[in-house]
Amino acid sequence: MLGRAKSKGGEGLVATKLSSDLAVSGPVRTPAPETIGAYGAHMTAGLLVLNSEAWVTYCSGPASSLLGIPPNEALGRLLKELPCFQTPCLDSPHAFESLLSAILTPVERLVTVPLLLAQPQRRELVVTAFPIPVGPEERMSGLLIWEASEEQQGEHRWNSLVSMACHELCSPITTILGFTELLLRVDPSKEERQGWLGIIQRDTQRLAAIVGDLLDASGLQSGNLTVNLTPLSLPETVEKVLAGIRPVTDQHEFVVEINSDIPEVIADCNKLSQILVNLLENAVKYSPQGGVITVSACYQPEQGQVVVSVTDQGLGIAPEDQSCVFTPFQRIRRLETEGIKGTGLGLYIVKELLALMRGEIWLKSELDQGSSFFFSLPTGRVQSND
Amino acid sequence: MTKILIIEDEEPLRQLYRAILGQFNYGVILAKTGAEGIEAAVQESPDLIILDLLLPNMPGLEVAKRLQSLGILPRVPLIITTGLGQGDAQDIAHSLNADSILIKPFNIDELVAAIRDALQVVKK
Repeated sequence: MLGRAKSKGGEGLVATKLSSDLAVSGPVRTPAPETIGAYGAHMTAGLLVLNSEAWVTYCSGPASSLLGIPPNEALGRLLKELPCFQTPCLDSPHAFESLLSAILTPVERLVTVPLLLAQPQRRELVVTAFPIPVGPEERMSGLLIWEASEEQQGEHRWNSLVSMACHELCSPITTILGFTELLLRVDPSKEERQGWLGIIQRDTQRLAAIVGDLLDASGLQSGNLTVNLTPLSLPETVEKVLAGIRPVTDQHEFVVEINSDIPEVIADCNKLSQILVNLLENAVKYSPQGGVITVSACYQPEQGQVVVSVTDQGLGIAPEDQSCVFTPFQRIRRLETEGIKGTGLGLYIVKELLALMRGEIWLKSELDQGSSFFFSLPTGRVQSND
Repeated sequence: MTKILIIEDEEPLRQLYRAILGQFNYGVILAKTGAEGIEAAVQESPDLIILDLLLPNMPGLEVAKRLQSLGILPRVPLIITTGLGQGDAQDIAHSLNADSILIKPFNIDELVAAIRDALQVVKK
């Protein structure tokens, strides 16, 4: 019986053994279902078998439960069409592309990738694709699917961070490098020069913001980010932040609905500003048609807290996307959000900063109807029950 | 004039391609999504396609497969672009029979050399 491989790279050994055991020779072009079933039934890992065009021909019970899909729904479908590999369920599209490429490519080799599934349940998996030789002209592939160990999960998170950071940094660096080279080589018109310098400036600011986010995320992960909690006036803080945001857009109207007598909140002045900047910038970015952005706050004496909300009239967030907006490196991929820049770290940082200040964040949103982000902060006042 | 179709979702990069390729007298067709790119590939008959692997909605791999099924690839040379650290780009480029792969960040000379090499392959 095949057990779960414990050592690193053990999946590869199991895959190699499976590959050789499932190999058949002569006129038979497909491994007998009972051969595959005999393995699949005894494995703790999941097993999918696919033909050379990546149609699923076998799905074991564990594979079905790891991928959150009934076996009968997987059979006869293209791998890429399984619901678990669709946006927003799949958190690692590039890793999936590598996997698909290994299945579709004629080069026979083992490929192991981490796959992060966000829905229906968040799962970190390790998937190994291996070739099953079934005849001189025919190829099949197997996918061994494992729940990632804690060590592997840590490794995935690190790789994911490096990969996303590289992706976010590569594009602005290419732009800055390219336009700088052009300016050194050619003599553009004044208008062109201004345009190119504008792009260089914007992408340099984008790089600075990415580095800032990465440093904050790193500090939060390592526990090195500290807060200096003091009583703060919310109306004053909101006005200061808005003074910096208003000049950025002429398409949006900002409305503040906060009573001047609202209790002071206990928070870190810089971090509270950072949270408000992030939420307001998101509200601007995700309402590209413009509209009203409202900042309001209400005092909840029973909880000893103030709840602040930032509401826009923008694109909104579909229900299936809402659970992952606070997950690091998670950005909503829809046609409408194409071109909107970000590291996918902003809301994660906001959530963690609030947690450091004993606050919470949540949202209400509807697609095409806009979004409201709410966060709470303690006031320091405790209502007496007497 | 040699026409190059760029399928790239990042607006500043599309502007960069236009600015650089304009200097070398290439005609430029810009597409910001895979779907737009496929439509442009069908309608504009480009001489070369530059395709970013990480596109929203329809990944570059899928775009390439559809272009293959339409018979546009491998007839038209293909250059794949991707960022550092984005998986096994060489393997993906190999599986797509791409003529070249450009790893971001790339400079003007690397871009132009990749284009000339890919177009040279067609002439031969």
